[in-house]
Amino acid sequence: MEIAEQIGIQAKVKPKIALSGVVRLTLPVVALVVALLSHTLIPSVQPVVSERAYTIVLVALLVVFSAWALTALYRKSSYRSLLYFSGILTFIFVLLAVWELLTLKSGTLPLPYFPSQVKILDALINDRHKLFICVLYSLRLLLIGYLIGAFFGLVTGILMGWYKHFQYWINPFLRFIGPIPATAWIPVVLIVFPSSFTASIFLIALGTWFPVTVMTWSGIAGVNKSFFEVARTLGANERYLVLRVAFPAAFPLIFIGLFMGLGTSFVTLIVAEMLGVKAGLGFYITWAQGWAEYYKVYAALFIMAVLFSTIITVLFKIRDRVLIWQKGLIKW
Amino acid sequence: MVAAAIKEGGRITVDGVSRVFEDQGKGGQPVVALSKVDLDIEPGQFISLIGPSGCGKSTLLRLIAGIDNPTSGEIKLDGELIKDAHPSRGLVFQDPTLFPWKNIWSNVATGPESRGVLKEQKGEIDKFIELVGLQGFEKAYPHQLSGGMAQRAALARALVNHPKVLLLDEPLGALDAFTRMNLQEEILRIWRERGTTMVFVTHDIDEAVYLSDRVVVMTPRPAQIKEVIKIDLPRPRVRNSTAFFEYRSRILESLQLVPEIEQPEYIV
Ligand SMILES: Nc1ncnc2c1ncn2[C@@H]1O[C@H](COP(=O)(O)OP(=O)(O)O)[C@@H](O)[C@H]1O
Ligand SMILES: [Mg+2]
Repeated sequence: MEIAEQIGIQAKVKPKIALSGVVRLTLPVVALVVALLSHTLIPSVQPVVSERAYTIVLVALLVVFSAWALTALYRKSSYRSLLYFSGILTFIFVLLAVWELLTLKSGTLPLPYFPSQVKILDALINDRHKLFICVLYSLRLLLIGYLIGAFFGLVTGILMGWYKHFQYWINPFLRFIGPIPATAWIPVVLIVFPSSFTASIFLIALGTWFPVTVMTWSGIAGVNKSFFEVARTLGANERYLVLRVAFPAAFPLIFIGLFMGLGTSFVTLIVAEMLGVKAGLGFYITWAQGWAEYYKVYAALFIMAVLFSTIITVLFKIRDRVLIWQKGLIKW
Repeated sequence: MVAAAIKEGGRITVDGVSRVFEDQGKGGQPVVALSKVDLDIEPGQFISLIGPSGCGKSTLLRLIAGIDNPTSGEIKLDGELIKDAHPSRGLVFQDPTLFPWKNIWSNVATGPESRGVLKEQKGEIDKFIELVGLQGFEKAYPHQLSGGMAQRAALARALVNHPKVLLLDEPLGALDAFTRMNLQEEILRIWRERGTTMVFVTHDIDEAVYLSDRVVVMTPRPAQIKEVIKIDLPRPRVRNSTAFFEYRSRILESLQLVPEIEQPEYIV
């Protein structure tokens, strides 16, 4: 055992990185070169405004990954991270190359439903102004609706978890009305509310409210009673018990409610925008679909993916801050 | 230390206290956890409650703490009726019940914080963390502490309020023998320094004899006080002295854990 270790150590001293390691480090670069060559050398059979943007993206990626591979040769941390990510990155780059071959370079997949990424990138660049406005509209609706829904969810949940009376009066409504998807209310809500904007805010808030309420309620109701007893002997009043004992103790569950609420709010947002609101990403998608400009649909989907996953990341970052005391957190 | 006792310790008078738990689910009979209990605890005394599991020790402690109310009878601290929990009566459970979302410093600071006097008492918190020997662990979270350290933090959290009475419900029950003896010394030291009245629930007879001025033996059903045994041993006590063993057998007898018929000394 020891001898083997010594040999291993000695073997490591001379060639610093094993051959298989080198291959894995260069795989993403190789895949990018292949993608770049097939993009530039094979003639396109579908119309695109400009192929240059995609070439630039590929070259930029190539530069980044070559640099990463080079630093990996003498920096342990870059070596480890690149070794770890090389598989999935290579796969993604190959996928891009294959997709381009199936679309732009051969026309195997039918237009307009399956555009090439070159065309989608084109849409992202040419329509950037409009997309940007749509993102702002969507964000405004989402944030206002979500924050209102989360706030009322927290309040309702805390009241239900703390006061038996409140639970008694609210519970039937929560159980009966809560499970209805917020979007199912659209026909009613569009009539009741003065504008499609307020109607959408209400729907998003409603969709967020339900999971946040349920999880906050069960979180608060399930807090270890000894915490309250100890806090009371230390001189805590009811306000302290609710806000500084019950709330933090229930926060792991409350967070799950906030996360679920965020998921519903995305759905509600997009559906609301597709049906009533005259701006935003959901509106953009329906609008582009109306013109059969599917590459614009994909462009909007791409932006949505970036936007929503960023928002979720932010929520999880906040959670990590707040729940620093908890071990074994769910990863995002 | 007598001076300190006069300063901090409080007198507890338990007067004809019963606690009946009604409604034990479907068709259950009410549980008489305590039945007409009288007990007088002098200021600054160290009292142990001992008795079989389920005989109402925790119930009595919770009543004194004020987190539960007697069905009948009354409990007074220095002549004042106990109606609700109050920082003058600190409580420590077997499970340290530290707030897992607070670090050790904030846990100890809970009392002053909840009463809105944290600013004035910042120094106190450091002082009590030091008193229980946890300096350097202020920033640690409860899950990072060992059982013994967590229990020390729980002690500091109760002590920082300068309680007149410290109620301890099997606080060392979950600890290994070594940590246990360590913390026994610690508790004695704190008691000597602060003169707090101590009510200590335990099921360990040696522990009761080692720590207490008086040991209160309780009976199961009807849950009452059977006997109060005064431990007249000089401190520091020696665990393997003859007198110690005598007290030990007296408590065993009182708990009826010794067969009544004399066993033959030798079996040939
Ligand atoms: N909240 C409660 N509800 C119903 N019964 C209880 C409650 N607390 C204690 N009891 C009953 O009272 C009796 C005494 O309990 P406890 O004081 O915890 O005993 P000990 O601490 O001596 O083991 C037990 O029979 C227990 O089941
Ligand atoms: Mg008990």
